[in-house]
Amino acid sequence: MTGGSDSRGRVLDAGLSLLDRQVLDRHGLCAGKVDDLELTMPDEAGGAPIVTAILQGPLALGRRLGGRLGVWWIAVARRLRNEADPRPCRIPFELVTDIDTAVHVSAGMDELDVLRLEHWWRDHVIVKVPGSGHAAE
Amino acid sequence: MRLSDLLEADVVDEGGRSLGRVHDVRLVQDGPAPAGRDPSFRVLGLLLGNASIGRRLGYHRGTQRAPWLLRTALGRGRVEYLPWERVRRVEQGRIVAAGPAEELP
Repeated sequence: MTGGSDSRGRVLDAGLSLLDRQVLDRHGLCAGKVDDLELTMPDEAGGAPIVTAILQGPLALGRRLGGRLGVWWIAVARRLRNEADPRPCRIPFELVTDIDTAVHVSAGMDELDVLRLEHWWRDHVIVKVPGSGHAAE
Repeated sequence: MRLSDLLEADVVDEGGRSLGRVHDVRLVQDGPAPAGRDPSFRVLGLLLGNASIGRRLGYHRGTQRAPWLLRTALGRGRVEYLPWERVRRVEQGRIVAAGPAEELP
C-alpha cells in the first residue's frame, strides 16, 4: 500500500498514488489504467466526498487532458461509440482489494466493463478480415 | 463529481483572494464500509501549490529516499493543506474555501 496511515485509516494522495496506475484483475491481467475517480457526495450535509468508482477510457482521460486536445479526444471517443450518451468505463471502488504499484480488483476481466475498445475493434474491423471467423480452425 | 474537477482548480477564499491551485487530493480510508468490504476512501483535504515535477513525484512529502541534492532540488516549494471541512463550494475550475489555508504539518 502506498501512502501512509493515521488513526483513522490509510491515507494517500489520489493524484500520486492512484491516477495512471495499472488496474489488475483477480488473475493479474491488465484491465486498463486509472484515468479518473468518481466522487460521490454523502447523504449527510457537510460530509466529504467518497470515492465510489475508478473511471477509465478516453472519455475519462479527455477531461483530464483539457484544452483543445481534451475536446478532440472526447469527440473521437464519442464518435466511436454507438450509444446516445456514452460514459467512461466504470469499476466500482468496492472491488479494489489493494493499492501498491498497481490497483488490484477482486473481479475478473470478463466481469469488468473495460474492454469496449477491443470489442469495438473486433466488431467493426477484425470481423471484416477474411478468415477471421475461422481463426481457430 | 470527478477527481479531475478538483485537480488544478483555483482555490479562493470567500473574499476572492487566491489560496493556490489544487495539485493533489488527500484521501483517508475511513468512509462507509460496504458489506464485507474495507471502508471507503473519502476526501480528507486538498494539497495546494504550484504544479512541479518534484510534487508530481511526491518529493513534497519529505519521505522519498534519494540523494540530498535531488531531494533538495525537487522538494523545494511551498505546499499548503486545506481540510475539506473548509471547502464551501466547488464551481467549474474554482473552489471557494472558508478561512486561510494551513501549512502542511
